[in-house]
Amino acid sequence: MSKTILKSNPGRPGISGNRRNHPGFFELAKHQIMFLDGGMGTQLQLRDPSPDDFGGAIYEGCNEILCATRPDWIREIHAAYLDAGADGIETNTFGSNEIVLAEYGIPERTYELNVTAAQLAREVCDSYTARPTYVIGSIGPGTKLITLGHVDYDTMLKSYRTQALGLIDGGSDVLLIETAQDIQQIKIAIRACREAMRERKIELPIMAQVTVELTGSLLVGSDIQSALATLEMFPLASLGLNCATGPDEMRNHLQYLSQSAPFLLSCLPNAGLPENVRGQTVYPLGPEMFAEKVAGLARNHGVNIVGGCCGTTPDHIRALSAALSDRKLGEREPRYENAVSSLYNAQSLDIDVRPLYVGERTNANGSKLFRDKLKENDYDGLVQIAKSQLKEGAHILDCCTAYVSRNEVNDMREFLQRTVTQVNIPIMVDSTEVPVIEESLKIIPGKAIVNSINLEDGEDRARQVLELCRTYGAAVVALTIDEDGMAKTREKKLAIAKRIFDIAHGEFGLKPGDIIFDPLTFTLGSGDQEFRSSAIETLEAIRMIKEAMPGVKTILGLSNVSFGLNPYPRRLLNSVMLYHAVEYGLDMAISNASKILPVFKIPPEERKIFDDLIFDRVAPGYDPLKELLARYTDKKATLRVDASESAKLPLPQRLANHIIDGEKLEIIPTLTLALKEFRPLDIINNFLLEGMRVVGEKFGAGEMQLPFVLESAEAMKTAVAHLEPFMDKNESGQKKGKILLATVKGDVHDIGKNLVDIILTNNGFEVVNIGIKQPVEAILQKYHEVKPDAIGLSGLLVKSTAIMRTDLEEMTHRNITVPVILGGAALTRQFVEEDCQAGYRGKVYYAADAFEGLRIMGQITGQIAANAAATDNGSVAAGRVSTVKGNATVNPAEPQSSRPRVRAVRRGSTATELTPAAQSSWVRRFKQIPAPPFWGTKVLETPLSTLFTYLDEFALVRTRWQFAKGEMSDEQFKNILESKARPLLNSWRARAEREKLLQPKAVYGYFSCAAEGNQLHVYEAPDSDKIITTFDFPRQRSARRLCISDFYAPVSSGQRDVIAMQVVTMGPAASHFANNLYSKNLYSDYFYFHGLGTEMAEAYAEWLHALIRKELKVHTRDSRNIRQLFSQGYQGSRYSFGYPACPELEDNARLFKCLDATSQIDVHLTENFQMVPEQSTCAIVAWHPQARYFAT
Amino acid sequence: MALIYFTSEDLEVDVDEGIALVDIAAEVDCDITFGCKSGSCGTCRVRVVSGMDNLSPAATEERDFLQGFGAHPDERLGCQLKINGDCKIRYVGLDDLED
Repeated sequence: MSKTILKSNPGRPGISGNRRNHPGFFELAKHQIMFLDGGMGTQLQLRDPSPDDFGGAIYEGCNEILCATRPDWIREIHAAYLDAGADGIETNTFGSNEIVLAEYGIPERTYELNVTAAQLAREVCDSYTARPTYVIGSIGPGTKLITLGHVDYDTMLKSYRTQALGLIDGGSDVLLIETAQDIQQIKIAIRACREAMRERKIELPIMAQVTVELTGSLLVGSDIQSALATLEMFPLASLGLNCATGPDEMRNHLQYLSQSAPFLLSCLPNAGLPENVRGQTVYPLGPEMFAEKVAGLARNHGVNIVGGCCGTTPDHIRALSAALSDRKLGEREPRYENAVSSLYNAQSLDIDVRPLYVGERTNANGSKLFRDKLKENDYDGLVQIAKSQLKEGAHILDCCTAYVSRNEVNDMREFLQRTVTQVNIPIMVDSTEVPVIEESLKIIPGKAIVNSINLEDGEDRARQVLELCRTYGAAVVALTIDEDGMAKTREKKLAIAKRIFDIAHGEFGLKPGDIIFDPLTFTLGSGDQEFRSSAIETLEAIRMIKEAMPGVKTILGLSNVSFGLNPYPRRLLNSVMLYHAVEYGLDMAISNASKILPVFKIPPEERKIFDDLIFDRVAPGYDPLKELLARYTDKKATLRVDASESAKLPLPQRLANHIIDGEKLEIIPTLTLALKEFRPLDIINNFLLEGMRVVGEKFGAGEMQLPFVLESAEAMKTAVAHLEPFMDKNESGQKKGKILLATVKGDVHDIGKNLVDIILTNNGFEVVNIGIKQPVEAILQKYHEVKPDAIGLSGLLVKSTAIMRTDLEEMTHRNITVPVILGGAALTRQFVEEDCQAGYRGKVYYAADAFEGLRIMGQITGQIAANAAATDNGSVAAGRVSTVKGNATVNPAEPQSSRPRVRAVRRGSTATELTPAAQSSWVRRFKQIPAPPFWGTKVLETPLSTLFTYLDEFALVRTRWQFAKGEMSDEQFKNILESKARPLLNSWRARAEREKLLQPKAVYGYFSCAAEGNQLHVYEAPDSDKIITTFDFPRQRSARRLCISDFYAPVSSGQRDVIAMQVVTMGPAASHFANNLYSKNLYSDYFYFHGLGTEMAEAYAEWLHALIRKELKVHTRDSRNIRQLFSQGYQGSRYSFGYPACPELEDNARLFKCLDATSQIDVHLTENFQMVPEQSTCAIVAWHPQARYFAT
Repeated sequence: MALIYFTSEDLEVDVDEGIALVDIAAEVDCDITFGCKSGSCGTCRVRVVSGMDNLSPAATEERDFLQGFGAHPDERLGCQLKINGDCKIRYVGLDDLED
């Protein structure tokens, strides 16, 4: 598609227009900054119009009519802006469309008022002969939001078309769709402009400007990414922002457009955020300040067109044109990532982890449930199905309502109207009927994908659909079918794809990235000779198509490949086929993500059969299809991996496999069978524990991730519970040994300890778990009561390691010598085996993870030989949820004392000097200190959905959930992320919201403060000398000699600085629910939920910190890259106590006092100053640009 | 035996090969702040001024992190590093403010 139209066509004047023969507006804008005017409404208000000025009281407030009634005013205002330096003036036609004028009863005057307004502007421009000036035809949003159903598509299109005709005929040089609040409305306005231009046989450049509210999105909820994805297909001359906010708040959105939009840029902010002063709206930015800020934006982000919106005056424009008098453009190199979009969010089509999953349950051909709901006219039920697709990990939703004897257009309309506002993933319109496709595209606000076109009935039909794609802005799926039917060979598939490409790209201008080829896949399940090599042809076609037409995308309707097979082998074949297709370059798969198995989960001998089937590897006496049918047909069709896979295996092996694969439902019938042959205790000890042993081994070797280990443990728990009634009393009580577990005094972290409990319990040990915050007295009392074979102590904090050592000393004091196992994030093997062992008469062991704990318990209880307890060290943390790999292997029986050598051989003497105020001289001082919006505290209850946008998914999935553990190939890692982690995350998100499992609350505040050496005093108020608390921070001994207090103004400067403090919590409900899961033996759920809650507390902290930066107006350096943002990609720093620069947890109490956090949001501190509920976090915030993390 | 030079502190440290940077930092008091120590927070990012080949190669997750971060080619996560030979290391935390 021709990207932009940069000519203003001087040779083809409109009816009364008088476009002159100077360079077009955009010919200039490409090379220099151009100035537009400022506010019109405020200028009119200054003239205090009376009802008579409007031509009668019924028209009062209709500013547009003033073009007819008070043309003198309009001329004056236009002239004032041109005098001020504007190159273009916007016509007074913001609301001059049929919909708005109908509210005054004069829709029929739409055309005339637009002509008049454009002529007025034309006249004024024409009187400026010294320099080129331009008439910019303004097209505002109107008063109705189409996405919310206020108005229908055709009415809005007609309303805008009439306006555009008037603007063209009155002599506009440019058409400006501005203050757009709804992405669907912009698409309609663009179409109206283009139709009007076609009617007048003229081409004018179209500018579009969206309005991003303070919330960070357009009024209807679209973010700037979705706006760009939606508009990118259209031939705009420029894209930009105006209204709603001042220049500061526009920066991030403008930065995104600058980096990504393949259009010229415009920026017309308000004169700051409006304030209400004694009932009057006042805009805070005066001309100089406004000019300085807008000039900064323009220079930094390569803006081509600047001007003002609400609250700006000719003086603002004068100052702006002076500030940018050299008109020099800032540099930018936009790189657009091809995307589609829902109403709310964009979905890139160029993703790293392919494929994109296109959910197929919202399809009347593919889902019985969908058909049933359709038959009942239960449209809301259909929306529920759409939402469930989201939870299952779909990136895009395939929607099809084609069903015999029903009205497909009507069904699609009803379904989509409900879906587009309720589902935040893009839509794929699945229909071959042109009217259905068109109706769908009229409803879908973002950028959809049309599925599909082909050449079965020749090219005309394809052209009709492509015309719709171009008009409405949609990507398209093209099937490799032509007049001869479906293409079966790779050459034919490629030939048809090329033919379609020539039409779609060559004739209709669709970008390669918006053309998605489906090279078709046929069933391998029929044994039909014709299709035996069809998968190879399809795979090769994917590769050839992508090579021949760089940039195009590919898609497969995956499940066709396995048509006719039983559900279980179908699922396997689909999974293996998808794996290979992605290797060959496939971008998208129509398939349910949750039904795809990672290939590593398929046993190699089975995988080979499917590989052989796909690649048609037949040998004399070997046919993979026959092999497959023989293997699976004699069993019930089932989706479960093992029920069919292992039925042939001996019972012991089947039981072990159930444990290894974590199948707690499937194991029960196998146990019932096993009970006929074996004693329950033998089943546990010989078969089930064998499974757990393999699990431990796989975990240690990095082949199995923690979440899968927990599923195994759940299966074990279920199996043992099932067997217990069959055991006699004596037997059921028989355990391999007993351990007492506790998290030490003052430490609330129990996830690591509980993981140890799970692993030991399910390996036949009795575990007495007495919970968190256990003082040594309580531990020893319990010890005497239960007489365990060992005591296990856990703790996350550095402080806890010291407590462990004193606890051991206390035990020595009391003549206790029971073996003790220590675990926890802050421990090191060396500390345990040297320092802790030195203070204890019994044996002290270090367990790096739960499985090492298991081996040590085996050794202590004599179940395994001492030397077998040596470990190769995996890392389910005993008390730690972090992964530190590859510590040296040490036999716990023989503590190793030779430490690896680390020796500083030279230390430069470059320590920074301190200032007279005893601060590091490296830290700069600022005269201007940010002013907070209030002093004191404020309580927030932020919706979960908001906080999810700040969730560090990377940390959650990899670190908390430990999906990243072990040595995996990139392929395996991707597979686990896509098939397991992402669907899990989606479902937990939904569950947390639905069941209100997390109830976020926060308190934060701003306080006056000043530094004195290493101390930071916090004052009662800015004008008070009363100190409410003082923090005392450590200072680096060398290098820059930093201390946190350096980032605040010193007392000696006479200035007061501002410190923000915050406490966030996920509420007591979260802890309660987690405990509940644990007590119900839902180990993996417990583990997932605990991790989610912890990361959500972090997310809240991150979100609140972002709010504080915004409120202090130091948010302009916030990184747009979310990974960077989470790694201090912003100005200033947020310090939580306990980290190196501020190690004292006691400071939590000082912070709590300032914020009154306990009574305000019900978060308490333990005697060791830890927060309860556990999923809470607190911090102080420094705004200083040099404030960063550092180590002391 | 390997020699590490920390540029910010002008500090030279002599270590046994194969030792983790986390352990070295704890021992010699150099200015690298570690957050999660598991490669997901990015607090400990360092620039490897020289000797990249003498460091343990980045595993899948670290590569994934650095790519998502848009890191420099010479940037690594300090907590994931083991030192196998001479190298020069600069902590990113504070230095990027001086650029």
